[in-house]
Amino acid sequence: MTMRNIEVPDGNQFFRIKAEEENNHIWFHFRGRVFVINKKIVKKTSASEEKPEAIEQKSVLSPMPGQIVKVFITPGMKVKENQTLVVLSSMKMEYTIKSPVKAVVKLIKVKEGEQVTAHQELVLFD
Amino acid sequence: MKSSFNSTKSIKKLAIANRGEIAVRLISLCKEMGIKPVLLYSAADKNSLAYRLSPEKICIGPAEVKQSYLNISAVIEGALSTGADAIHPGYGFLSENTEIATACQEKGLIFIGPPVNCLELFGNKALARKQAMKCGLPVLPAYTGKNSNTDELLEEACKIGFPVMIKSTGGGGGRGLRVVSSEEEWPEALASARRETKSAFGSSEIFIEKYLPSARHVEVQVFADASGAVFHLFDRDCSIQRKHQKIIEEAPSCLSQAIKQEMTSAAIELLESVGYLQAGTVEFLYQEGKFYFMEVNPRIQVECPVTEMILGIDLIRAQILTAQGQSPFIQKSFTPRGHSIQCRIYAEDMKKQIPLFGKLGTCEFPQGVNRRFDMGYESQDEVPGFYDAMLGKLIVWEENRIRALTKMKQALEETIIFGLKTNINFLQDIISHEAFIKGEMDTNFVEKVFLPSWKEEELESVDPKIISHLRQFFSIRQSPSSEDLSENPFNPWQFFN
Repeated sequence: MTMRNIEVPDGNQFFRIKAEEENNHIWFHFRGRVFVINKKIVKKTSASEEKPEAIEQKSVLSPMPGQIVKVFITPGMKVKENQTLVVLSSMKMEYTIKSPVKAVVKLIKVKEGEQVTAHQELVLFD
Repeated sequence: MKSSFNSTKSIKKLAIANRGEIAVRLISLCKEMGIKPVLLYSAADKNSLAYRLSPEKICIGPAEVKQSYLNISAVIEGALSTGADAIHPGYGFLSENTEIATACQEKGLIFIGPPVNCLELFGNKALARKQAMKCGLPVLPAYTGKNSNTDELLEEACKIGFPVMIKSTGGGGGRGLRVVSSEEEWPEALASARRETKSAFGSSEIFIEKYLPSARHVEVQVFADASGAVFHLFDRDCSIQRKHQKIIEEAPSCLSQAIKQEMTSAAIELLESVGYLQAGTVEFLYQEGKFYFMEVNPRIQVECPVTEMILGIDLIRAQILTAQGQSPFIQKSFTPRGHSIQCRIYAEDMKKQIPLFGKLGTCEFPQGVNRRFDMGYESQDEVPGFYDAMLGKLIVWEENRIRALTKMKQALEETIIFGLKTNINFLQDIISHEAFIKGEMDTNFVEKVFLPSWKEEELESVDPKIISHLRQFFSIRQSPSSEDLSENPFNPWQFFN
């Protein structure tokens, strides 16, 4: 992980870009902004970046470590897209975790008051 | 009231009960002042920048704040066992905690902050409001009674008139705050404010205050020196907020001289009335020619650098000198010069609106004239997932506001943070926003005006040939035998096949 100064030819000139690779990503700084891309071309439909959530829509993961303060759903419940599933407290701020899809709740893997780590499975869908 | 203040004691060793940029700053200041710093750190901060810089350090507990940075007995024990004679709490964590200030007193340690009675008073937002009223400061309509029944509180809210804000009595740092604009929202808003308040401050006590939808947040920096003299160090505008957390701060504010004068006199009067000592901030809301008292922060604040820049002072040095009974400043009167702006830099996914943790890649914070980076991290550092994800702050000074904005824009463009996404793009776009440039902002600017039409600059704006060049550059370096090399025009091996 060392930062590289890379010259990208542009006609008679060069764009000078600072870049660095990290696992499967390339970070680069261009025209005063930082961008990150996948090292390999990922086939995708449009503007959005890679979607880790889209691959696994059968579950909802905790975005960060914290404590579950409220569970709004029960097994078997039908949830709409963007419906609140659980409330997570992290660094003393509450974060509402909403359903990414319309689905039926199969299993709730956490209880109110429970500590969770980042990327831990919280809810499973049918 | 000033009995807690020991004017004969000089500080030889200072225990730092904080982390991140404020700990880094304190370590460096201690060294500058010939004081030995001791860093009290949690297990998650082992090997942090502050850890590496501090010649002496002691682990006070595991990562969870309750067991380390908020653990009073562990902090006191850590300070005593290393032979420190004072504790600086920084901001957040225990900085406004009455118990630790009292414990320090009992153990003969200097707590660098105001006297216990001031912490007690200003730590309770409802009591602070009463004291402000007593001193004749204008306040907003509110309900601060003992009633805790949801329906009866709703009645009180209706009397005040929506929108109202539910505030935590023991609050601070934007936690436990809920704006409620109608009766229907009341039950869930109240419940959620209470939950957040309970988990943040240990008590679910709240009060209700009229909410001003287009007010500016303007605050007055006050300082009370060891002789008991209370004076102001001018004002700051901190209207650029999101989720009630300040993001961009500046000094001075753009209010008229007449209003500023009223505000600063009011702030001084309030702090004089309680026998204040040390640095403190009196926060106000300003709307349509009127200002209203909000709260007092009896501690150093994250945004103190903008005041330091326009006055050429060091507020934390002033605190330490005051704690030793010395005069805090050399200059006898203060004249603000030019304009200063601060941007808080966070590791954050702006799209998902969540803080980010993990390992940083290479970072560059290029120095420049009147440009100051107060950072808590360096390249390759780990941002632990247990705390605030603020990486640090960028502060600039110039002769006027427009120049300061231009300087900030350039400094942000040159700042590089790899490995974790940050809010830098967001900061860049706010400071380039027409309304912000004109100085037309209120506390709702970010959420109501800026964010709805904001689109983070996407990869699509970058010439595709740059992206493919970068991919090829790194794939050659990494795996000369990889399969996509055949179609790689930069492949140095292709001529040998």
